[in-house]
Amino acid sequence: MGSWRAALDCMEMPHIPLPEGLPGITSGFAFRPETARPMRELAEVLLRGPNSLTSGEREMIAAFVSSRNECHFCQASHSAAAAHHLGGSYAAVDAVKRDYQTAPVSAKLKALLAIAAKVQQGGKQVTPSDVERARAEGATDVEIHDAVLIAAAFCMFNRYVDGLATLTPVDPAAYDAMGRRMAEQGYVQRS
Amino acid sequence: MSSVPSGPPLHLPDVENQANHEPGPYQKLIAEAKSRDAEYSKIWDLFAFRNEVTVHLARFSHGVMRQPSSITPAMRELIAAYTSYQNECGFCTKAHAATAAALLQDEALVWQALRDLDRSPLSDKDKRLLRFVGKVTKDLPDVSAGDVAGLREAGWDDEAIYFAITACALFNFYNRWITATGVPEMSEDAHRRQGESLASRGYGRE
Repeated sequence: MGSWRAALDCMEMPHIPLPEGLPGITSGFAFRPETARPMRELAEVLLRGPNSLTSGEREMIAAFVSSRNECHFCQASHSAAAAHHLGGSYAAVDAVKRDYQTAPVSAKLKALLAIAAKVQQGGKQVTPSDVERARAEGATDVEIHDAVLIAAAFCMFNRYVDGLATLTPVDPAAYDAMGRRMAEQGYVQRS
Repeated sequence: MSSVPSGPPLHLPDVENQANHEPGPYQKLIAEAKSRDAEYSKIWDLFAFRNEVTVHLARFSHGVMRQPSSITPAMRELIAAYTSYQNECGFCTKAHAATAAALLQDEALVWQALRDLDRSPLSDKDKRLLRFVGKVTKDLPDVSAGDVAGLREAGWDDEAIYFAITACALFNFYNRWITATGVPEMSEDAHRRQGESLASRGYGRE
């Protein structure tokens, strides 16, 4: 069997027969709707709930961690969500994924991204001095905690999506539309 | 704040400052433990700090770990412990090893599986599932359909594989949240008590 990475170009079949035609995480959700609701609620409050970090900043953390986990579905959809929170431009989120240290984002967000990068590798790598650095750039404990929470949550969402090998669209336009929906309507389906 | 029972401080003092805790079940648990000067799990501080987030997390955790399915809660707890051991999260490893041990009534077996899976007396079927979980934890981009086909050959059905992946993903979250914020391990006794509680009542605290 070829590696999952190589399969990104040709849309691999899911590893287990998930409901057809639903992209990425939504097919896993449909397989077990009981676990889906709290997972959606969690994404909603993490990325769109009241917070001193903007939704654009939080979606950039999500896209950044997903990109480092090589989870194409999550990184592309959350990059698009970040872009739509930031007036439709992908410049900032693309720069963050390429090299966050030189990206056109605040020094505070850079310090939070440095913590997120360590969380992606393993939470043990986060030291009190990383926390100190983020505080020195003006981050509050709540913001540091929430950056950790988002980074850790995407280490979960990425494994859920890629462990199940959900359907991964390749067309960037599909992600742009998905990201717009995520930014404008959020993660919880209202009936 | 009491010194010995609650262990070293978190990296984020605001998170364990009770003044910042939101009213709810975890705030009560912490206050009750502190009033007795008893050791308590500092994951409660994380849960009390962000109630509006953690209420969903507790529900999700309970569903993933306890919903009736073709994979037992004991095996799911073993997956949680194995994932945590791979991620070197001492708190979660001890917590879920204790829970698996309570459900299996065999603490030695659990630790053998964590420390030396190949030579442990677990069935080949269980070993294959834990090796797969190790790969999802440590080598996600290389997980392939072939890995899952191997699990089916070993006798796991799709529902079991779904829960195994989801439990593994969940603990990749918890391990990072807990180590990055500095939640300390508890005494062996306290972990054993918590394991018995998680085994019998699950994750909901509502």
